[in-house]
Amino acid sequence: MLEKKVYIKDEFGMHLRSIMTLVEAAKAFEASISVRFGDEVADGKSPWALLALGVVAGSQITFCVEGPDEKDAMAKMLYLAENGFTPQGGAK
Amino acid sequence: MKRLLGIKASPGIAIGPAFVLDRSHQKVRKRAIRESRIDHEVEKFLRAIEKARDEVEHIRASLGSDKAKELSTVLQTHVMLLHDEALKEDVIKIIRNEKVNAAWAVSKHIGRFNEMLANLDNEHLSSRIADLNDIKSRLLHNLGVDARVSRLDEAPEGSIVVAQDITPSEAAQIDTSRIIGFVTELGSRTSHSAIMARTHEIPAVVGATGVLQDIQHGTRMIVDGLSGKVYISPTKRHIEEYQAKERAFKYYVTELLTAADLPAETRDGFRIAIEANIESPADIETSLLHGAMGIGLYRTEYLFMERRHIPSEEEHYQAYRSVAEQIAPYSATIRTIDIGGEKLFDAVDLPPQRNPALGLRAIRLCLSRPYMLKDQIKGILRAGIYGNLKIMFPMISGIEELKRGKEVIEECARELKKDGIPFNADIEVGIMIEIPSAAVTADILATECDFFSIGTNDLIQYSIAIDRANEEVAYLYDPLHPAILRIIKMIVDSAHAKNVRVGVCGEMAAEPLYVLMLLGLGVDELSMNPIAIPAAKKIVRSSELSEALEIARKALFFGTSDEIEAYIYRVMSKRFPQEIASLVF
Repeated sequence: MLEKKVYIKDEFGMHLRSIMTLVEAAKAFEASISVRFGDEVADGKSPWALLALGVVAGSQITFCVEGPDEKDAMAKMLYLAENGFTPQGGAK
Repeated sequence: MKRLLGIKASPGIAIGPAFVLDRSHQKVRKRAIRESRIDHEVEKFLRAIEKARDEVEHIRASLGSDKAKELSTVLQTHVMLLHDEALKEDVIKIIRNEKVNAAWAVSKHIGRFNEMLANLDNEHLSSRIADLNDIKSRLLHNLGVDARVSRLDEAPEGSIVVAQDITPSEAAQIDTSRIIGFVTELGSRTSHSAIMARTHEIPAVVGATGVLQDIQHGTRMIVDGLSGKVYISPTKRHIEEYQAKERAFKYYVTELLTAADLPAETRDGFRIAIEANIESPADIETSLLHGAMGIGLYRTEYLFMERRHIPSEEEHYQAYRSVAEQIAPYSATIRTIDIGGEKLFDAVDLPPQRNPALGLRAIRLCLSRPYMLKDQIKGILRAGIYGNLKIMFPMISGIEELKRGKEVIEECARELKKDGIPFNADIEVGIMIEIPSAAVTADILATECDFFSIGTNDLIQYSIAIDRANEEVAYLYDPLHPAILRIIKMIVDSAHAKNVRVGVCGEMAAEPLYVLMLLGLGVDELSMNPIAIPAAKKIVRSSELSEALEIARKALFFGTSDEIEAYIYRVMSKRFPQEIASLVF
């Protein structure tokens, strides 16, 4: 299992659009992807679960990725986080 | 009469009757469900979800135009939320465990999310609440609850819609020919109602807390999307005042903006360049819309502000390439990093300075940390292939700093060449003139560069020796101090003798009152906030060069700034009452 911390840079925190980008990207991987924020953990493939985390701007989240393609999945998640979860980032 | 102050969300003035969007009829009753009917209730819920998905897809498909792209993306997120198995599982769990009706379960489940988001107390979250409410209303409607998805279509023509918030699907389906304004209690500049209002150019104020308290259908109101003010039952005097403002705004939009593409040329054929000051590649679209003929000042400090680290060469390159491509065939002047001073950044570790305005900042900071400047310069040289970019050094105090800056450029060019990275070696280099020592030696500096840009804010501050931030002396900050006009004249004369162009990029350039005076002083370019461009162009286009020369000559003649100001105001407000009066922006 891989684990990595990232900052949410977007001034809006994780809004619906970022969540959508994350979920769409996460679903493409076989690996399980979970997002930890404080004490809460959410399935990275469920928008409702991510929404319930209530991640605000400037906070830190942790990606936990496990599965056969975990390396690629983690790279993708980090890439998206670096680009503020923009849809452009998701298209690449 | 009552006045509220909200957040200005979309510019313009609307005066008219209120149409109150009331959602209180969406109350859901809890019903116990018999064991044998529970599967049926779950089925009902699953059908409601499926139907909701189809409906949202349908609205999204009907949007079509490019302008509605943002709304389309929002609705796409709704489709995604309706697809999530977690939603189905959680609601079905409530139905089965509590043996309740589907509508109640939906209402309870989504209500919990809204409560949680509301408790986070973050202004940007309200739009998410609107999203969830939108989905909830739709599901409830499909479950047979008497919750019409929207009553907006009942708004009479010419209404101002007042609501707690507008849902995205309402925003997408709104009949903009009937609605003249918007006020919402919730929301921020980025909420759906705000985006929709700007897209359709409808005046709007959001976040007007308490607006629903004293209002009924038909209550007269004024929405001032320029300042964020909302008047409920305004007095006759206010209505008249706002009718005048509305005319001024319409004049601005129709007359000035439609003429914004015309060149800034006097009636007798003398041309100057009017350009935009920007902070990010994202500002270019607005700049072009307002008639900018180039970017006179790109403040690259914002590349630092947006990140927690010093931008890499690649990040510089991407930003500048985007600017170069978007602004072509015009040029963009990129000011190298102007940090230190009053601006503090996490990315650059600066020791505390006793007097930062006179300390290690701008070009001084860059020359003391050449690696920072080199990444930026390389980014510019590489991006220079994609358009017309210029390099401008801020805070130059004398010829030595300029020469050192140019050496860095040459060094960067050598390194890029050695590494075989393509770049444009033929890029103009200019400087900001904002320190009196540079102004006085402008003739010497002119031998080493292609253009000057006068940064009036700092030039005034350093020339009159006042700290603008110090309230005790701020009154001395005076663009019309005779010394300032003489300094500008001196810079222009020194520059023109060596064929060097002179621009002005401080706040002074954006002030309609000073446009002709600066033109008369011989300034070749004015660079300003995009919104100020249309009025500046209009003034230039309506004047003759001789008028401008006369204004400058007289202004230089007076011995006090009071006399200069009185004179300029008299001449300009007589010639351009509309432009001088439209300073409401």
